[in-house]
Amino acid sequence: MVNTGFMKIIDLVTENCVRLLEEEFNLEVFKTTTYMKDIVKINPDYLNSFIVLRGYVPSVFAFSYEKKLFEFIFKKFINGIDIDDSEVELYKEESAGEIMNMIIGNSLRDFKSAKSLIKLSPPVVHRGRKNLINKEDTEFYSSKIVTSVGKLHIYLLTRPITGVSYEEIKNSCR
Amino acid sequence: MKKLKILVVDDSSIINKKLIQIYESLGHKVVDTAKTGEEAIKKYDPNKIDLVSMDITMPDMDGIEATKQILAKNPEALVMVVTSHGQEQMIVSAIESGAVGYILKPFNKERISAMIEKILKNIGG
Repeated sequence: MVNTGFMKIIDLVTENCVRLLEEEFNLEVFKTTTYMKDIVKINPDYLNSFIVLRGYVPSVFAFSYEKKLFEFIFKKFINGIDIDDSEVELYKEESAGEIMNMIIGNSLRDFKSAKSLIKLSPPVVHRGRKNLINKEDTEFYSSKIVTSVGKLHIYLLTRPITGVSYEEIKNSCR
Repeated sequence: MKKLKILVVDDSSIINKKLIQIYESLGHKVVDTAKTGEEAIKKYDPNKIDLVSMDITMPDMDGIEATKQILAKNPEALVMVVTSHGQEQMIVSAIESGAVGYILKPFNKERISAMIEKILKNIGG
């Protein structure tokens, strides 16, 4: 059963991601699609960043970039910075983590409080394709953002929980 | 605007590089960088540094504790916090600990320049 609270969270993350892509990277976003059901596995793409959300319901966010989209974003992100060829790959991974951090931070700003049970892990970046299969005790929410230079998938992996609204998740974290 | 000698503190090398590029394009001098709060405290020298550009979330010691310890070393130290949205409560803690301003990521040259001007105006610099 789709949990409206988590759907709202992935919608918020998607909205913030679109805003960043449009405003900071001057990308044209054609379409976004958010869905939950029928996801039995996720297919990580060229570059994937993960952040663990520790709190009311422990969850994992994942951003999966198509290569040409990430190359475009990276070029803009490092604009004006001198980077040694030997450091490019390291900086790509750091950039993917930083960008995700900004988007998730923006999206969860209402979950603020020093006493909050919500804590974000540092981002982890993974390269390449290795399918993550949906287990019975995990729910996958997802959205797809289609831009002028490529696609980005956002995933939220969480524990199945029914009847909890976004407000309840948010307020329980204060 | 007064040209400042700056210590940039952030655990991300790419963010350090971006900040160095922006500060130097504004005419300031980045004299050193640090990747942890502890390293920042060790590298902070009131005779060599006018402003500390401080990340909040870092391994080992966070930016709030590092701000407190730098201000214990020099109560006149200028610490500007650089962090993400979603950490507003941490920013409040940093300001309560003595930070004089903050910048939210994603930052850019204009926002950083405006905040430095505001800090200098507030201290009469």
